[in-house]
Amino acid sequence: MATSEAILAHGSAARRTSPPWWSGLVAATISEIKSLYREPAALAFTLGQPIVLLVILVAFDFHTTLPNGKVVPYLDVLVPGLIAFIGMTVGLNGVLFPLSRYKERGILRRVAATPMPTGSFVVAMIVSRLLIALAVTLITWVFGVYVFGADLTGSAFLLIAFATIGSLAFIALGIVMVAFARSEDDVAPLMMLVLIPSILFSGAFLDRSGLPDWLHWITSGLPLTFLTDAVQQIANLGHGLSDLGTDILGLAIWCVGATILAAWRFKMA
Amino acid sequence: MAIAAPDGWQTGAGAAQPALRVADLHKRYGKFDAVRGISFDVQPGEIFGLLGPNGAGKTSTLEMVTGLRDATAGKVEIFGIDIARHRAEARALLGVQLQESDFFDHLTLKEQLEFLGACYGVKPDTGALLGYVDLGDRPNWRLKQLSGGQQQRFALAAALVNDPPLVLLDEPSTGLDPTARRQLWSLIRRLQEGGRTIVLSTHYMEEAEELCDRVAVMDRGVIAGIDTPLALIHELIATGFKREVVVRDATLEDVFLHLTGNTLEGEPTDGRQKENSHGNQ
Repeated sequence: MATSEAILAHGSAARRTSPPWWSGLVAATISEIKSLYREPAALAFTLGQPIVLLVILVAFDFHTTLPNGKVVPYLDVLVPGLIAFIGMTVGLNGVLFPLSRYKERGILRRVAATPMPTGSFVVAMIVSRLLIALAVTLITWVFGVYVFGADLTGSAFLLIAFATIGSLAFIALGIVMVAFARSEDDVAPLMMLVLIPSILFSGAFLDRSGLPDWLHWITSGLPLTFLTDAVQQIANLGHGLSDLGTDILGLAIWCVGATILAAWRFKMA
Repeated sequence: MAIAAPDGWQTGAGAAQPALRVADLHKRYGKFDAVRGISFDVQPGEIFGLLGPNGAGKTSTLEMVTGLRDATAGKVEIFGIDIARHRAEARALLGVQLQESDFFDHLTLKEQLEFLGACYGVKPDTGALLGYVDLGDRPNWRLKQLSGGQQQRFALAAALVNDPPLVLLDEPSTGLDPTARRQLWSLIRRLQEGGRTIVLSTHYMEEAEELCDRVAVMDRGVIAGIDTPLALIHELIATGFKREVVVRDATLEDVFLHLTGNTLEGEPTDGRQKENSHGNQ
């Protein structure tokens, strides 16, 4: 084994900077952030999406009743709903399309042939998407409150932090979908499978109280239902973390379940 | 040149140990045996070729050597390090150019090399690497702006980011025109002169004969013959084999050049000039 040690010392070891798991993680995170701002169309869509949705949905000028009996304009429940929805789309879209493209084109295969562990690349994907989720959540909140005039009574910090961290469940879900997709073509239908029930039944845009009991019960387990309920409680009712036990548990179950599935099934090559 | 071979691994104690040892390697996919018990050693400083038709098991073998696929049975050692047991350590000594693998669209050539270097925990000399493959003036270009030949040369530079003593090239010249192929051969030879060991797979016999010190001919998952190209040729002649020799005044390549008006270097031929002047009349 002495010869092997000598080889290591004479080869790449001479210019070694840090362990591959760490330097690879940092480089992959920077690369992923570059991938987002170097594609102007994708960037405009990601950052502009909440503004476009706000412009359209603000046209629905009616009032709605909160669980505490207070009657508020639709905009006040729409903005937190939109923040939750955007957390989901950034988490899902941000992982599904690039990761499946990297997989299909053998980019992951090339990276997998290096000493960097798979986990470092996956963590880099997660960190970069969390940063985007934070940016888009902030944009939605700033425009919703300061441009369109939504009246959000709860803690803005908790709202933004919860929505950003909540997008973790969707990032994990996105990685699982890529792991199970046979090709890039499978990804869009898989996304629709999550997106459509989430838009219709999570409460992000439409009031869930009108749903029949059986549908209400089934869709109460959707990850976006948990996230929407939590951010609306924070923004509209001024609730804190101690009031959000069910939502936190629901999101945590989705997150842990998806992570276990991803760890079992996701392969770089 | 900055990409000089590191000392120590082609001489002295290193010479006694093969750069690559493949021992009784098997790969089974379901009921299909892609690789059926192959063994060979590659000595430091050699260019070793894995030859064979499509489906012979070359890529499966290289994938097991890189640790991208687990072997069903058998062993792979890179300078004495078992890749199945010490994957990261073995990969640090290995440079790879893989078939059906690509690079990021959003990074420049320089950034791609820096990124890959970081995956090995090293900071590569990107200027020297790009200079070596004659892309030194294009550090800020994107991969899709390059021609096929330039892309293959870039992939070769990317295989060297970790300054590896052993370089694996999976069909490096597939899809290249004859000029680009010869450029790539010259680069591979320079790598060998720098002291590196090279294992390449190919289905171009000319490439194997031109480049390789030794070749293993693979067919249906087994090694059918292993030796220097010349020894294998002599072995075949000794069996009484005689190649049918047909001498023609022109080849199909000559016809192609005459009709397209191009030489391999892109110069117009007389025939094309005549054709053009005729057409203009």
